[in-house]
Amino acid sequence: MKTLTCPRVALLAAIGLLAFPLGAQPPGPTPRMLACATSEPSEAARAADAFTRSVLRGVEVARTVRRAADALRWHRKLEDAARTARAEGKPIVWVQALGELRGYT
Amino acid sequence: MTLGDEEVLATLRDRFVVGWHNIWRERWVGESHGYSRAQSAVGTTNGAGGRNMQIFVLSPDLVVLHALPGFWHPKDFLHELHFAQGLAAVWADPNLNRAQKDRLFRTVQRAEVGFHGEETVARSGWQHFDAHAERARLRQGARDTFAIPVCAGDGDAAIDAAQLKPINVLVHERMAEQPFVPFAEFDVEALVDYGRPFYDNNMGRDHGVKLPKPPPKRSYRHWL
Repeated sequence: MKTLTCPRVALLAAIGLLAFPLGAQPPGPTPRMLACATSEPSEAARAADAFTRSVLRGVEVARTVRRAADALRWHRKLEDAARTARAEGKPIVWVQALGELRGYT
Repeated sequence: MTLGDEEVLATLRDRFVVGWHNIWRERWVGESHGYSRAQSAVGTTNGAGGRNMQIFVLSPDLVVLHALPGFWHPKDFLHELHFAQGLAAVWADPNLNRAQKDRLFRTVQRAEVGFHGEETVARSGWQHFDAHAERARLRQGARDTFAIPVCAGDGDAAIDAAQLKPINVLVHERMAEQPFVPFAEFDVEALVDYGRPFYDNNMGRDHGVKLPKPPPKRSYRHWL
């Protein structure tokens, strides 16, 4: 295999290939991952639980939405985004959502 | 909450081109209660509301490098964005042929979950109603959402005890099945088919509160 341009992907690929051969079944969750779900709540689990109980007030939501909408140049058409991506040499983050960025979702 | 984080915004601004598309006409869409931007929002788990929102990372030639269904915690979303940048480098690498790129895609998608920390796994649990729905679906036939294969014939006890995969694991496994697929051909349903299509995590917070009714869907475009 030729040298990769991205060290992170090369490292991942090397570890992945060592861990299981190409074509093998996915390894699935590790014992550590399953233990997270079956043992006493860890600090991480408690933090995740606390996050799901967190509430962002309407005013803050509006401010957050406005910030996200204003901070970036959101393309409405995929062709336009692709044209910009080709010009700037960047990947595209394309959000598909039920609703509008500045309106209801 | 995913897109409002300062670090997420900075990463998107500096390293990506961004776009937004309303999917209310698409066949895989679930239901929404019409949350307004002035309504309170609650934190939730990675992958929650997968039918109502998908975040794709695409190459400039519109090939799917990565996709995330639903909400993601900003820290995990950032991690996935960096992961997708690696796949962008693979796709753009002129020294690799298509078969090599596909093999790398499958390999790194599967290997990536091994790099997810305990916090990410904890944030990738199932919402109770999605878990309940998924267990009910297991009674109808095999599902890839469970860590250990269980089938309807194994009986209720086995199904009740079956362990759901964390959503982060499920997403990367499912992505591994669609290496570098053109966006127009990407099977969204195969990615978002988990839990129940109806999603309303805010009911406990806002039930009983009269909220302004969203306008008819046809008028959404006039809001922009």
